[in-house]
Amino acid sequence: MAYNSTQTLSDEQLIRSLALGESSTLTFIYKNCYPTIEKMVFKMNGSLDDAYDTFQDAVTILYEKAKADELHLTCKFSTYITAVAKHIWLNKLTKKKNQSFSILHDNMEDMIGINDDISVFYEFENNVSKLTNSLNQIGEPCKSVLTAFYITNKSMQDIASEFGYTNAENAKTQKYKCLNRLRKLFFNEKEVVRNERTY
Amino acid sequence: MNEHINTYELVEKYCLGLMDDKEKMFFEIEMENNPALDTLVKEHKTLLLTFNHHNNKEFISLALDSIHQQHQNHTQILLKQLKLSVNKYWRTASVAACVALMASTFTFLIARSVYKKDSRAQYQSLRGEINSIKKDQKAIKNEVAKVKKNVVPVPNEPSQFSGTGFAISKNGYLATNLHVVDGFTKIFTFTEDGVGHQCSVIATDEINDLAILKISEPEFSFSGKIPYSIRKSSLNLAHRVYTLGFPKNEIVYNEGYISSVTGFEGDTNKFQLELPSSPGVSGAPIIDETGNVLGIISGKQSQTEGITYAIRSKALLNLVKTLPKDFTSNSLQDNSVKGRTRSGQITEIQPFVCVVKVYN
Repeated sequence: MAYNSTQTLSDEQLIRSLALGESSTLTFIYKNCYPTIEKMVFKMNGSLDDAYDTFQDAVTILYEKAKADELHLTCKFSTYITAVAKHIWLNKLTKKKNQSFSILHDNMEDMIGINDDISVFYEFENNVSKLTNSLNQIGEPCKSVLTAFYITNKSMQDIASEFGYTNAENAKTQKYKCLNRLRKLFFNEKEVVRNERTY
Repeated sequence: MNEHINTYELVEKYCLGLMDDKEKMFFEIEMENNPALDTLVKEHKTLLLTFNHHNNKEFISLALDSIHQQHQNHTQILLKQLKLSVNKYWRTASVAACVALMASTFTFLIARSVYKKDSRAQYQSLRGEINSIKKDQKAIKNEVAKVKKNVVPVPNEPSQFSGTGFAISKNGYLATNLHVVDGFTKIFTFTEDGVGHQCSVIATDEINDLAILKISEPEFSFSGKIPYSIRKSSLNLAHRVYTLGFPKNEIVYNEGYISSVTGFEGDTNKFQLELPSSPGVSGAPIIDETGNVLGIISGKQSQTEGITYAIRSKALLNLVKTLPKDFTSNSLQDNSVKGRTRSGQITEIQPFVCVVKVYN
């Protein structure tokens, strides 16, 4: 393990290693930030599972931003992730209870633009559920081929041998056919059948 | 179909940023000219981003889940260890607690009982001491009594009658009523210290119911000079008087006033007092405020409460004249309590007023 929880990690280092998805960094974030967020969510009518989900979403947002090199902090990392988690949880509460919880507009948080990040995140979340539905409707072997290529990141060569295609070219042809069908399903779906998880 | 596939390949290549600059430029120009291609690119981009997001999310979720799980397990292990150690030491701890409780209870009880015993023992020893002191005192008294010549011990039986007598000389002459001692030979007088002395009747006055006793012990002497005086003085009505007598074993004080200068049925040797009296005070002195003995109580009116008769001191003084030579009447004129307060007078007089008891 490159870092342990007692060692302090500069925020810049932290973001760099987060972008690479190092597990030691994730452990570091978990140990340093999760207790605060857990307490916060718990105080705001949330269960421990709610707290963990919120934390996971917050880390995902930061990970994607770090990966895209869009994470430029104006405050401490721990403060930022706590603020993101707070907004996520308040949004969830609002939707869950259908109550008009107004999202807090602290000056600091507005400057960071957390709400934009969160709305992008929700759009992605929505798309992911759409995608999952489409993949479920597309049928085999398309689902497996697409999953293998786009999710498991297998090479066309591997896919060809795994699914019994004579060569990679054939597999590629199959992949594009499947992709076309997926595209049609994905974008023609007017009413998205919502996933169990609501955001 | 092949065209389609080729287009897709290009679109994906473009979206993943795998084209070189030249290729990219041509493709972008084609995108501008062909809106269908543009839409395709946009849609493909969205799909790719969604896949990407899905992957990212999966990645973070998996990584965090394992960390979370580990942490949770760690906490559970800690809790288990805590529980285990509690279980492990529970018996020992409870036994220790029981022992401590019992020990403290026993200590408390023992300490309490020891303390109680102690105080009782002290109390008893104190009583024992008092008893031993009493015994010593009795022994001393008896010794003293034996040493004194002609000492006759006080009879053990209860006395027949008792009255009051008061000293008229330092060497043991006492005045009392004749009716107290008349017909008895065993006459004892008890001084303030509780010691009984046998007395003999020296002089009597049957008319005035007076008797003068003498303590038989030749070396007997009162502790001091007689504080009061016995003088003939004119009696005035409403003159305040008091008396000291023995209606019971302890001396009793009473006060009243002269209500008549004559006694029962006009007896001029006596006078009448408004003063409560009870059996046993016969022979008690009537003393005025200046410490002068005016008379001796002799009786009371049976019908009315509070009326007491007293013999005038004149009769006593007359009787005193018949006494033998060892009696000195000079001291009867002196009065050492004249200026004292009432309680001061009584403190002085008290030792000279005695119980007179007669036995068969």
